Amino acid sequence: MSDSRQIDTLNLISIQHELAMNIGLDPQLVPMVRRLMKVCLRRLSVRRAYLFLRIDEDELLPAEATPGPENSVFFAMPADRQAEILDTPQVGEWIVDFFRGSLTSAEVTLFQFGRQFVYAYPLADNGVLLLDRSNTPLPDILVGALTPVFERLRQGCEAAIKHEQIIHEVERRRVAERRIQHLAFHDDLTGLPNRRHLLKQLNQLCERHVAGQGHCALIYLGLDNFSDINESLGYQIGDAVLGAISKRIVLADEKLAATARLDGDEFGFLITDLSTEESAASERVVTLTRWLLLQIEQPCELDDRTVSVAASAGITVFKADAEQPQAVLSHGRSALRRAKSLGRNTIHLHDTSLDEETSQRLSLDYDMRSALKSGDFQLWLQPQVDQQGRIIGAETLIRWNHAEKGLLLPNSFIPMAEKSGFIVPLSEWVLNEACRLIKLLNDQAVWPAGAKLGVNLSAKQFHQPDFVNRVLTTIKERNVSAEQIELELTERTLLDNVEEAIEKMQQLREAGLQISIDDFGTGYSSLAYLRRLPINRVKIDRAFVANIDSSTDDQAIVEVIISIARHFDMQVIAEGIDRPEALQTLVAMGCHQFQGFLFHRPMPLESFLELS
Amino acid sequence: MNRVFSSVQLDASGTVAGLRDSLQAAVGQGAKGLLLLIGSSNKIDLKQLPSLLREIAIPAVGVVVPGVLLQDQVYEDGIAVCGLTSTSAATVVPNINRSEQELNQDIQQILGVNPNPSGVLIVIDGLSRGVDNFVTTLHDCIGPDVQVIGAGCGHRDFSLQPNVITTDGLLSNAALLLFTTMELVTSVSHGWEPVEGPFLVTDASDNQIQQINYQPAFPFYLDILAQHLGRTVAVEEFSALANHYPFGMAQLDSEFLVRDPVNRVGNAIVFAGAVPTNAMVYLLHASPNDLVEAAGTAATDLRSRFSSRYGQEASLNVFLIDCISRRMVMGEEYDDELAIIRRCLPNNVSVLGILSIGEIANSHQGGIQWLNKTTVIGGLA
Repeated sequence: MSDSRQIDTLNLISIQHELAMNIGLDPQLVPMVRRLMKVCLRRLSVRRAYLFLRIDEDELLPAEATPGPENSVFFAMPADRQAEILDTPQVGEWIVDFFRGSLTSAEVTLFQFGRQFVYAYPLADNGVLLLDRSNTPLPDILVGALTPVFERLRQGCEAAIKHEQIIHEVERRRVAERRIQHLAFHDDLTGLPNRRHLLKQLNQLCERHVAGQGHCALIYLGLDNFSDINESLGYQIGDAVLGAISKRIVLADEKLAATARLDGDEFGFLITDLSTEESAASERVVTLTRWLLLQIEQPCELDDRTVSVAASAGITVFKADAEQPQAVLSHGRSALRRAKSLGRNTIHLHDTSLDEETSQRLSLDYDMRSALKSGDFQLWLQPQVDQQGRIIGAETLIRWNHAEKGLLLPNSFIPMAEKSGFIVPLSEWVLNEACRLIKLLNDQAVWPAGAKLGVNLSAKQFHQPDFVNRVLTTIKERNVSAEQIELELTERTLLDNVEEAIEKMQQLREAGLQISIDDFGTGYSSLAYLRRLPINRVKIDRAFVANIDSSTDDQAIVEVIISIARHFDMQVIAEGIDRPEALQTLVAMGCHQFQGFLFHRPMPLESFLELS
Repeated sequence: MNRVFSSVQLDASGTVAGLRDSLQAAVGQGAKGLLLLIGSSNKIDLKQLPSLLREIAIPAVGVVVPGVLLQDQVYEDGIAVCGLTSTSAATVVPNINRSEQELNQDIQQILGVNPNPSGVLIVIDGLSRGVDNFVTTLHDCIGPDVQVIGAGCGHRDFSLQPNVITTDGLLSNAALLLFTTMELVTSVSHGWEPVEGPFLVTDASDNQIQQINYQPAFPFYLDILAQHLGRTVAVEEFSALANHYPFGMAQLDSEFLVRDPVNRVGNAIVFAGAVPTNAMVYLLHASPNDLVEAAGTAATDLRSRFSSRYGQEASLNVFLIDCISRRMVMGEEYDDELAIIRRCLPNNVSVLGILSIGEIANSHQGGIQWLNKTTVIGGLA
């Protein structure tokens, strides 16, 4: 047995080198420390080795480390979770003092108790390595020779901690990025991928298309009348229904590139490699869509109720190399719109004519917005007369003086304006222009006393939250009398939200504006609330007037309208009078105000001025 | 070892039927579990043993060893059937090549059913690459205060065959742990002394040394042998000489840790245990007499430590782990080693042991070491 107090130079170098070489071989703290401790146990013949490290608050606690005194952690080999060494007299206190910073010496300290020798090597301010040895002390020369080795350990620990912090930070960012990525491409409510995800998949599909691949298809699915569920049962139930349906619509057996929730109640399914034959691909995807619709129709069993919902679907079948992703999505959406317009719970396959329609619609929308800026819209006037043919007012009617297509009537652009929302700014222009005309007619003294200029309101405009305010502000700014304006509403506009309509109409009436119901008799108004509507005048729709002299049914309806109007103290005007027979019949029935070709066609302002 | 082993019986029948009778006999003597030390020259087909062990109503496990040691005899073809007094104490850890973390979990689980052991007997696949990792992990789990004695098991011809037998089948790379709450005292000695050195291992990995003193290891080894013997040494002589000239790794306050050169791969030398880079090594040598004396010293040391602690020897039970390589060095004189061990111990103790491929014991500081060419004697009281 060699004497531990004696050691030759080669052995010293051998120990120094083996210890030093095992520091920093592993960039991670715990493996590095464990590796070094193993060598310490073998080469220094120690009973147990401990490494105490100071851990700042923002530093990570290594999973394998045990909390030690004064914000330190420690590792021990062999394992010692209780840190028995701290129970050794003086050692525990020394460690506490070290971490409190109350020790001044940076030298190795030896604690000896009988046959136990504990060497404490401070690693600068960062920590302490303790070597617990029994029976014999380490040779003095070796104790000194270990100091530079453990200085290297300090550097190794510092580097490993920094390395792990960087790794942790990188990992944290990676997780955050993944989360952001997930959020960006998924829908929170259903957990399904969203429109962006589907578009991304569609892009990839089109970019990576391989010649000879089969047709692809996009199923654009929309729930029918889903807003009814939200409004009648509440959004919570609506959300639950969406969640339940999302779980059902799984096309497990298909080559499904993506399933996505595209919008509130709309879902998309991108299917690839259906068939090289378009007809076969269409047939297959229609079958799948039918299956999907059946799945959706299954009642949703929620907590305490059962909710059923149906769906419609638009399908576009395409070759990935021949289509632009946005166009595919647009075709799918158009097909869904067409399906819904054909009746609910329907499937519609996209066709080219649908493209043309869409293209025309988009072009029209663009042209309308340009026309408003360049002043191509005009307000024409159609005089309203009494039984003697005297002008008692006029209805303003919009015309579009299109540079290429000539004069366009409202039915060629108003439906599109309503769909696109352009109707709101257009209606505001109409009100402004009507005010300008009133001012002009007043100034030229061609406007009979008590005459009113009718302005048609769109439903979207009327339901704007600040509609009343806007109207009143416009009238005030234009400096015209409210009594000279008659706002014409359709029955349908009122029926969308009766309470809101009554409140708005009352505010308008209080401000002096006149209100008439256009197309009266077509909207199935209930007498219950007709009584509450602050209406000045009802207009009998041209549909009942056209053949009133020969149709007893129309006569019966008109009689009821006149009777109701009288009962509620409303005036009555019949529109669409183009024959003397109709006029005579209406007069006989007690209607005394008229509008129609029999008296005057709609005309531009210049012509109107010439009438007087 | 009457408190660990309820009975120890040598089965020399060489037949399954004979062995079955021996097993039943051990069960009849009150064994709660069985440990079989199977001499690798036994004629029984090892593949039949799992089903035989399943026939037994109590847990049973077997290990194949180069030889079974009983009193002062070696039995290369005998089977020692050892009845265990506890059912939970003998546990097999499969696949010791696994990660430290996985092994740690397994060992902790075993410790859960064997709480507060004071000693442990290990029998481990002596030719497995996982030995070093396993003993390090075991040490980390049980700490420096649990005494350890162990043997490398395997076949006498050093062939890589399964050597641990359980009811589930034959295993390689496995370890068997037998925990005890009895006090275990061990004594270790080998008798090898330095004849050349020191040398610095400048390149090594696991159990292969590539370079010594910055020179290719194999030619360097032949050179120092030549220097010691005073004659040239031919490459072909390596096999014959290496067994007599192992390396010894210097330790601070212990005997040299012997490393047995067992093979050559190009210019590298393969040892029967890990040798790290930067280890300081010596060329060792011992005469048969030195080895016998060392074995005697180990037995005497054990006896004196027990005497000083307990003052009487009646309950001393001895487990002997002796390296097969010592037997190969000594040849017929090996009988002297077993005789001296027996002589140095009191007459009334029984000696049970394994002729091993590598030995395991604690260092003076409690570390668990994998040894070569060494005698380890454990006493239980």
